[in-house]
Amino acid sequence: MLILRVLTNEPLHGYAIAQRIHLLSKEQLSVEEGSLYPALQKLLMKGWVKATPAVSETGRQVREYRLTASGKKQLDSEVDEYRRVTHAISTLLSNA
Amino acid sequence: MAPEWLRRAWYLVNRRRFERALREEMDAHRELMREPRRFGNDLRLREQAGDAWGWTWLDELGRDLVCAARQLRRSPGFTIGAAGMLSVGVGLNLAVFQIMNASVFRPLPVRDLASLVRFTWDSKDGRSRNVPYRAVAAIRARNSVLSAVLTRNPSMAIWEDGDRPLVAMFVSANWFQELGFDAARGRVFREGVDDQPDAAPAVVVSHKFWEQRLGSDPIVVGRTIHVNDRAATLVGVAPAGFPGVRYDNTAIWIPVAQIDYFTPGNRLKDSWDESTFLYARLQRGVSPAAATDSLRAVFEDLSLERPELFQRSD
Repeated sequence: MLILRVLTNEPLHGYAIAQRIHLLSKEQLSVEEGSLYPALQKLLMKGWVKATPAVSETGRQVREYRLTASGKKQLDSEVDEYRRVTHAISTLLSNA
Repeated sequence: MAPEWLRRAWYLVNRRRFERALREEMDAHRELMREPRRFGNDLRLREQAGDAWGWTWLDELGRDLVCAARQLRRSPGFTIGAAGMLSVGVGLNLAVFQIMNASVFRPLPVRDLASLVRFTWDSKDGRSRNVPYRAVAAIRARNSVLSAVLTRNPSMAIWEDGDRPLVAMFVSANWFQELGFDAARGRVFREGVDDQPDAAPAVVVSHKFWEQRLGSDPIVVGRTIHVNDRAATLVGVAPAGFPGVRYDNTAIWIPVAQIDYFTPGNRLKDSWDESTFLYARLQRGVSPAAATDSLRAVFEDLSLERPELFQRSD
């Protein structure tokens, strides 16, 4: 979900995605950065993102990931689902 | 929009190209990081990325088929019935099978494949992972069903003053001999020599590496080379096509006993969190099922000594 979210504004390559997640989460989320790549493969397989060749800041051949229409739909439904669950949990916590 | 199965088939057909692109971008990523160590284990991540496409079963199937073929030869009545049923499925998948045939269904050309087994460490949540390296010594010392225990530990290393890391495999000293291979030039590692604490640092290079990076230099054996800026002797060249146990692009092998020398600060031998690929040879006449039963006792002892290892839920 986080990856799809950071790709809504613009296509990004792997390192930029990791940076963006780190920054947007106010540096609260810091995962092993490499684990981004298995996740990206999954998104590619599902057709939620598309990869195009690009060149990194250091001049290396990388891929830029772009959200597809079905990826956008998936993000919306995941965000809805997330809101529904967190709402349910917070209701439960405040009433229990 | 292409359906998912088509993307997966496309991946399968272009697998090498996809894997190369992935490696490139992961290298590029690490280059940009201030603390490249936080990237994680390269090989493990690449295997996980490959697994995401859902073809791992095909690799495994290839190995399972070899094993099954042996069983079937012993009971031909069953073979005929099973062959009839299977051919329907195989017919449907023929396109895929032909593509994979060359690389996957070729059985590993190692000595006595039937007695070679691999260990994984299964946790209660159903996930399996590799075995903590610290457990290897106990398994080796306490079992009565294995004739040899082999380990391999993939790592990245820098050759001389190269700018790109290559795959270095830290292996038990019996690795080549147990798989049934001698060196194409020089020697392979030897038990009792390369597993000793005072052994001279030694490296075996792959045949491909010898051809491509060393220009097939005929007098390369015995030369002093540097891996991760550490001096070592190039003791041998592996035979062409020396098998990997999975997709293997190992460029050099180093005895695991010397891992501290080549990669200072690594914790393989000290930490229960560092795991290894673990294989073994079953003693003659011991079936995998009997070996499992017998090894259960070893693991029960281990679980008394290190209960937390058997309770992790991550």
